[in-house]
Amino acid sequence: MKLLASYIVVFFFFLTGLTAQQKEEIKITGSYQNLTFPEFVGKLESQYPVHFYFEEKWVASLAVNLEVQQLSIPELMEKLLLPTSLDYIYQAPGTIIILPDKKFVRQLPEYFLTKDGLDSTQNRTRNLTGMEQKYLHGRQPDMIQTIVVGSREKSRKGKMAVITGKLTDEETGELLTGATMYVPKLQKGAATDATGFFTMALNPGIYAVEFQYLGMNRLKGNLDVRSDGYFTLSLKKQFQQIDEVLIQGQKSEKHGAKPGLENVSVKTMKELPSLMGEKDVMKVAQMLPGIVSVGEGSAGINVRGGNADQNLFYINEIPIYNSSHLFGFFSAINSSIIENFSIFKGQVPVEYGGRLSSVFNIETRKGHKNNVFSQGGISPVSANAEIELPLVKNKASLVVSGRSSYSDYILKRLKDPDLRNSQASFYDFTGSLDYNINQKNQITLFAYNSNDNFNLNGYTQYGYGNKGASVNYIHRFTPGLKLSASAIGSNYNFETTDKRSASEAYTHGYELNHYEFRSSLSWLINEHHTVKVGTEDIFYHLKRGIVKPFGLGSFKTPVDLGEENGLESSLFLDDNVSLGSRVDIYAGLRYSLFTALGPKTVRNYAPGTAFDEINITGTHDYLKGDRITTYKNPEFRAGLGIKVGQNNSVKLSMTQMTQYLFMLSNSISIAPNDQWKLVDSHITPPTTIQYSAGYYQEIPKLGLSASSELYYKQGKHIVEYRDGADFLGSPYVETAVLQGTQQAYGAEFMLSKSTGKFNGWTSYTYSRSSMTVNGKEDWADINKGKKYPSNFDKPHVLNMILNYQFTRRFSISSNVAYSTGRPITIPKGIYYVNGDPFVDYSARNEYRIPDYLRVDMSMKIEGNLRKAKLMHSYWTISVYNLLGKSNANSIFFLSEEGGVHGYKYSVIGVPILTISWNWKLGNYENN
Amino acid sequence: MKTIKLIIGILFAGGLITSCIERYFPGYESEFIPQLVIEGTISPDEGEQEIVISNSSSPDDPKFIAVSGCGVQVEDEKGNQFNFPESTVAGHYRGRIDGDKVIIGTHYRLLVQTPEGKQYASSYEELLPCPPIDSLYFDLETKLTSDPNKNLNGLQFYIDFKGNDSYGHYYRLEAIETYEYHSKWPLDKWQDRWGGRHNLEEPDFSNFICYKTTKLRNIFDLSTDGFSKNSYSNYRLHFVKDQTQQLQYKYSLLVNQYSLDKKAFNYWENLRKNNQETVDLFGKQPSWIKGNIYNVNDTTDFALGYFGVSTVQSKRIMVHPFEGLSFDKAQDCKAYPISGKLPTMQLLYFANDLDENFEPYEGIAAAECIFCQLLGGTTQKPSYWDEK
Repeated sequence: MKLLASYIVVFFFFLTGLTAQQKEEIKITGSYQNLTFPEFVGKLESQYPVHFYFEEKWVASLAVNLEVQQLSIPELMEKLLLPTSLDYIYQAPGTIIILPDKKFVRQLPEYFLTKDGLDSTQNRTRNLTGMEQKYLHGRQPDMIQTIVVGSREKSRKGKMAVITGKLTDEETGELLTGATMYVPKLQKGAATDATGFFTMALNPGIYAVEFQYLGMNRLKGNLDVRSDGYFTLSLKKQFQQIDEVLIQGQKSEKHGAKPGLENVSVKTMKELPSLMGEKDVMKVAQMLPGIVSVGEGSAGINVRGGNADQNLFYINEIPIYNSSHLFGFFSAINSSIIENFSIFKGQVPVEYGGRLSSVFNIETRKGHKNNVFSQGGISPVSANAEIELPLVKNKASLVVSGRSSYSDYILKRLKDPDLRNSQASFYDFTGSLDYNINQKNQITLFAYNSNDNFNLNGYTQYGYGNKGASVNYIHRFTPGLKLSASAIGSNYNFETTDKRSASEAYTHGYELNHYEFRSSLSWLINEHHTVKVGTEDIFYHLKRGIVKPFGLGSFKTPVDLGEENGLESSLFLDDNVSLGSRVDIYAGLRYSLFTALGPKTVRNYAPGTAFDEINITGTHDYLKGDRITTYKNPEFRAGLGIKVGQNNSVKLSMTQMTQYLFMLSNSISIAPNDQWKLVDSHITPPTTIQYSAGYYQEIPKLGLSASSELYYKQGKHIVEYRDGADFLGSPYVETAVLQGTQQAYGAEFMLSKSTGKFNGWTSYTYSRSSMTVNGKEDWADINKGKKYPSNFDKPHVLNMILNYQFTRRFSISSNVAYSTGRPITIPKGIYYVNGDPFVDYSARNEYRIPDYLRVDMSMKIEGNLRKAKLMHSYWTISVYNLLGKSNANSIFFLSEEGGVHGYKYSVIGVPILTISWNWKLGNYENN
Repeated sequence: MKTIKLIIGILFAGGLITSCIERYFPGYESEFIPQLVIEGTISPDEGEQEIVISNSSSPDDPKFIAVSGCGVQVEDEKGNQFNFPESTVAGHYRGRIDGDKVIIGTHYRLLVQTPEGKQYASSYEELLPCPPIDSLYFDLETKLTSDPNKNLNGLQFYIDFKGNDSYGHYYRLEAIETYEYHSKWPLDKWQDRWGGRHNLEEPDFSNFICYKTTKLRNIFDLSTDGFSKNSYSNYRLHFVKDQTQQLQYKYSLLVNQYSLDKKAFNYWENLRKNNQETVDLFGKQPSWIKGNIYNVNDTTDFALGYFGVSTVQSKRIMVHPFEGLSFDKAQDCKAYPISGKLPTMQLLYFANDLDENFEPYEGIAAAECIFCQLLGGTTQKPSYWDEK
């Protein structure tokens, strides 16, 4: 009972870790005779660092006659208010809130609890039911705490104050990303960034504010802004989890000005059905509008009609050049360590560049800073574990995670003879150190390593890996002026050995090294104006490798694909201006410059001819450090957000992007031996321009948000490949490449419900994507110069995610994915050569494979809800492809037995049931 | 393809499904427009050669549609023209290059005039030399099957290619197999169509032994481009399993090796990739294969097919019954036991067979079990058959 009582007290007073302005207890001494209450308050406020909040009408009849000696504020208030019906709330050190009535129920009578029939384990730690909370709420005014920021002495008359707040989880000390502070009166809000901080400019004064975060209690408070300053606030876990928000960031999105920004919550990821029990952030992303992949289990995703190599994946600022495990069936990022995942697919902030279609920004958990935490899981394919160790209480923590597959045992049991002798495995590790030195300085170190290996019956071996490390330092000169600097190193490598034919056996190793330094300075000038300026310098060093003979029997001569060096430097500047409370304008410029550097041998071709060996007019040898060619591209980005009413807004944006490296791929999805290549003197950098417009509507009564976005995108110099292109035969890629125009447009609609027991979203997208490769000459054409649909052009996509939480321990989720089949090239005719029939494939991508439809279901069963427990676990039972539909992955045709036969290849044709088990230290609520 | 299997394997932990590749019949919506097909590889030093002209057919109804009435000439770089008049087979145009005009290194092109008056010409193709096939051989190999307890034995055929600097790097191989097979029974007893019974004193073995020749449909193309020497060892041809009669008596393999230039090699390689390779998990885009024959008045109008010029080298290998091979399932003829009254006015063949207890009985035999020609072969023994 004592526990419960103390909990209720905490609940009412929201005494949640207020750390700013903590001082010694104030003792009052003095004589206050014949004063009205406001006079008394005025006197007291002038003598002591205290502040009173009250309504004049409540205290109109109160006369003050007091003689006090060394009284604490509660003692003083008791004495003062004893003869009245007024009550008060005191928040140390100096905030006193006068309440109009003493009759507020602060605690439920005890009998109410003893009759509830709950089991004994729950009784001790029982939380209030919704009814009880409502009952209590109904009898209370909003209980508030006041956060004082800055001091009156420092305030500058007539100037706005810039406040920087840090929001943390009270229990674990973790920094919260995406937590929001909202000022209803101003209809303004701000969300914390990956470092757990947010910044806002406000006129000095007292504001009612609301703090909110996924899975945390909404916290209302008063913000007493006096001058520029910092504050830290801790939010408390929500005990009624059914109110959790499914898509975080929606609120902040509404108030920002970024069309095409998607956030995926970790909770969504945990609840959704998954293939083989592997939670996968990329698969969840594909349920959002505008994001598709060419097929089930294909590596690479296509965002708003762009190729798979047009997406930039960042994990804590480290670029990941191959984001998949096991050919694309699983993503290379262990989902359980993800803290925040956002996708920029429309308006991309100027600090990001280098890819045409999107930026996937993954931030990992910063770690518990108060206590040790660990979690993990086991699925039929892999096992993962993570441990978070506080190094300096409330300040520093170390997070280490690992995941490894053990799928070989499955292969050994298979009937197929090739597979009985095959192996496939993957692993990934991360380590991070996050140190919040003080409110002004923060440093984060992060390292990542992932690896994949396949051995197909001993005759083809693939291995690839990503590794990287980043150091990020943040310094706040003032609450409104922040410097962020990062040094990043990343390496992507693969090795392929092909032994199918001894005479042709070869091995090829490839390596891409990425060294980056980026820095930015963000300055919140005032309430209406934020500026960010920064630079990004990337040095690429590609060792395209030597294709070497493998084994004594191989007659292959080594082919050196050479090395490439390039320097991509960007300078960016953006400016966010608010005009009144309804209009936000964003304008940005990213000026990027790419220089291809020697050493390298570059061929010259006769002007106007194909890049073929016969047209070579000479070669030029560049020495180390020589400038081969330079490309400059100003990229303009602009956005306009207009709040039409309280709950709806319209946004417009224009984004230009440039890309200086691309992937050599002649397969439809990404293969593990596809090479990245820099642009050079013969291959110009691809660019795009995207226009988008969005309308956003909130229906708070129903807890619904609706959005619709339109976009039109045009890409120039998009790289395509000549039929039968071979990327291993020669270092001169230009002989295999053609460049064309990509056109994409679409309309995306999304309706989501983020609160209540029943939540989820549904999205529908109509979009088209096409390519035209029509050079001046015949040889520069693909599909005879005519426009053809991209491989991933899927006009209609409908996705639905539904989630129902029956109790805190039991919930079910379901998703439905429907899309038009992707385009394929099918026979236009059959013709005979040498007496055998062959297929004429003359019109590229004119036909489509059958439409795709998949329904999945999952059930999550949590362990018991005891509060005091060492470990909590939950089971997830998933059925992937509930309908057992064998969706086509591709259709192909074979000339055999004197005829041409069509075949459908589907990856998954039956429902797949998997059970996975996950655990974590602590109880149900620990996270 | 292997990657698909790997994935299927991992995902299904084995045995849940048999295959994820199934037949598919697309519905064609677009109207079919026939395309002109001109193809033929001529070997000028090999006597009469053939150019075949046809129209492509709808994928719904694949068939050879001959184009008759074309004017066909092969022309060398010096302007010598050789006529290829249409033969008795429609669409097949045959002709000869005069022996003294056949010189290695000469360029030839094909000229075609269609009945509608359209003029097509090929690019000039060089007659490249072709080295003899170094060796044609086989290995007894065992292939694993989906049943871990059961393996498949057979012969895997290979060639070794050895050229030198005077030869090119690109070749195409054509494999033609001939094998001897036997009926189960000689002609002995039968009932004719009119109900008459016949019983020969001496069984008739004239339909008992047959020889079947088949050109393999596989495209075998070989490149030594980028090799340290102009050689290729263990180039894999096809695999012939036991358990059929193919290897039981005698098997012969003839390999023709054609010299190609790089362009021709690419043509055949693309044709092979488009038609004889299953997709893999990463997927590949089938390509439009541009041949070398175009409309002289509209260079964007290409005919399907390829005009090739090649010298040819051949090698034959005879394979005798081989230890380690098993033929216990090679013959699947069984006499149907006679029960009840036989129809009187029907042609029926009778044969003696053994039941499960190895007891002899007389039953009705299928005609294919007596007349080996019905299985596609001929009783005419090839001239080389008795060579070692």
